[in-house]
Amino acid sequence: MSCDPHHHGLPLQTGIGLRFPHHAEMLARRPRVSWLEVHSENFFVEGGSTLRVLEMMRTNYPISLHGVGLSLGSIDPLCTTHLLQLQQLITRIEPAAVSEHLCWSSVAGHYLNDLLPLPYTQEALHHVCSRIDAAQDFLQRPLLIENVSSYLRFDHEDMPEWEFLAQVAKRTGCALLLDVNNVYVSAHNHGFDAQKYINAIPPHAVQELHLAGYEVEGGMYVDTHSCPVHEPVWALFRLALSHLGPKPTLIEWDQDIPTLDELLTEANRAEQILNECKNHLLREAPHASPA
Amino acid sequence: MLPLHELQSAFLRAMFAAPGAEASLLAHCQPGSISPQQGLQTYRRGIQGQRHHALEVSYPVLVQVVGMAFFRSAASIYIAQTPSRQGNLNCYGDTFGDFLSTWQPASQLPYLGDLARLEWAVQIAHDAPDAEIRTDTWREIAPEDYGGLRLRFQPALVRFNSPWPVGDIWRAHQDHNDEALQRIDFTCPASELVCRTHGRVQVRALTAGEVAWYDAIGAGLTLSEALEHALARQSSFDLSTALLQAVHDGIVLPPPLGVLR
Repeated sequence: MSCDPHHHGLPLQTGIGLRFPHHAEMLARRPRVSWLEVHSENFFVEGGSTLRVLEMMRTNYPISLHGVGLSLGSIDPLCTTHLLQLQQLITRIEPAAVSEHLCWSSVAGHYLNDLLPLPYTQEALHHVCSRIDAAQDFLQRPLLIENVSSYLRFDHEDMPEWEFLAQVAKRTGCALLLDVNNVYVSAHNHGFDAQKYINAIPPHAVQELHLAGYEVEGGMYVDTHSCPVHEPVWALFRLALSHLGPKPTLIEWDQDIPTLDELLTEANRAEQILNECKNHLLREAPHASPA
Repeated sequence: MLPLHELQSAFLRAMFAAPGAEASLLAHCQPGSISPQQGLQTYRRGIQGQRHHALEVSYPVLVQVVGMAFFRSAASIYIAQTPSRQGNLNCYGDTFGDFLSTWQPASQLPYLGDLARLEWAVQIAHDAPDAEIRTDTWREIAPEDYGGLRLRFQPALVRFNSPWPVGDIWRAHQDHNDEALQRIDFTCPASELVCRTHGRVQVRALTAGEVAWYDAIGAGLTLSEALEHALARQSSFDLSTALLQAVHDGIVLPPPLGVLR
């Protein structure tokens, strides 16, 4: 697979998820934020105002296309129509990054339209890697693959989730989008050590981090993207940066969407932590100070 | 551990089949801090919730007309009967109008099916390809050639007929106009034009002459022939007003330059 020569990746700064309720205000204000991420499927349209907003936004901000519907882990054939629509959007928007999830969402032509968990077996690893290879070949660019929150684990698995994720990156050459909130949520739900997970991720493979809020339902943590980032997730974010180094970071907010200013405030907090990480690296570097 | 295809099939059954169908999946789940039953219920709730949300976004006027409680009960039955066939959930719900037309609890409101179909047409128009509007092309056309022109419609255009005044209902709910709602004559059929003008989707009521004119253009007839059809239906039909409005709003497009003469 060849890489897109125009692909320069996301800025090493903080971005926000661009959602419909903020479209008009974003157009009017063009606030200071380093990059934007959108759900690819919301722009699988042929024309009209939705697409025009994104085309206007891309003149001011690098764009990340984040897919939720490719169903990479499904045993159904890859949906060529979906891939073609994604390819058309990529051609139109020239995004800095294109990402999808390490999950499945369809079986026997029936879509569940959710990010469903794979069993971490050799069979599933082989299968999902062949699908990521096929998608990357089709799109002629590397994908960023994101770990999902999960509420169910299967028995007799061959490896822990973090090893599965690292293997996917190693075997397919895809990059990783590490969702720190998802690590925290799944660690709570399944009783594993979030720090151990983070420390097992190869730093060079990670090209983006996600932060979001979860809710507690009957003792379970649910990845709702409906509230501010929780304090323990901020702490895990700091730990992730110390292991991975500074990475482009996104604040996601999809339900009970706040004002644009509240969202930007949350992004600023992430930006400050990211800057602390960069400054720390500069101080640590042997030739950082001017001669 | 089940092979991947069996595991995914078992998951699907656990989500949509009757209680008890989840046993074959639960037998392969690992208890953690949360019970597998609780985990499955979270997925079930998430999948249902996203479908409800997709329908509520696509049918905002229906929600206003029947109220959220009635809408959700209709949506629940529809969701149980109607699988999603695409990874893009924005496409879910295209047959909701057909469902409402036959759903017994909605039989007292027989216009609901057509109102849903109109709202879906609005959504299709909203996302349709942009028309390439070249006003200079009109200037290339000699006055004596106008009668022989075969015009094209903008890609977003949909003609919509109903025995119910669903266009009036739709318009009255755009600006929550209670007075307009009170005036709606439920014996009056609708002949509507769904189109996109200056980026916004509009639903316009057509006169009998306009119906004949638009339908004739849509059938590929010339402007002269379309005018004859329109005058036969409505002797007061005013071609210059209809044409100027349609050109100004980008609803009709000139033929490509090469086929003008």
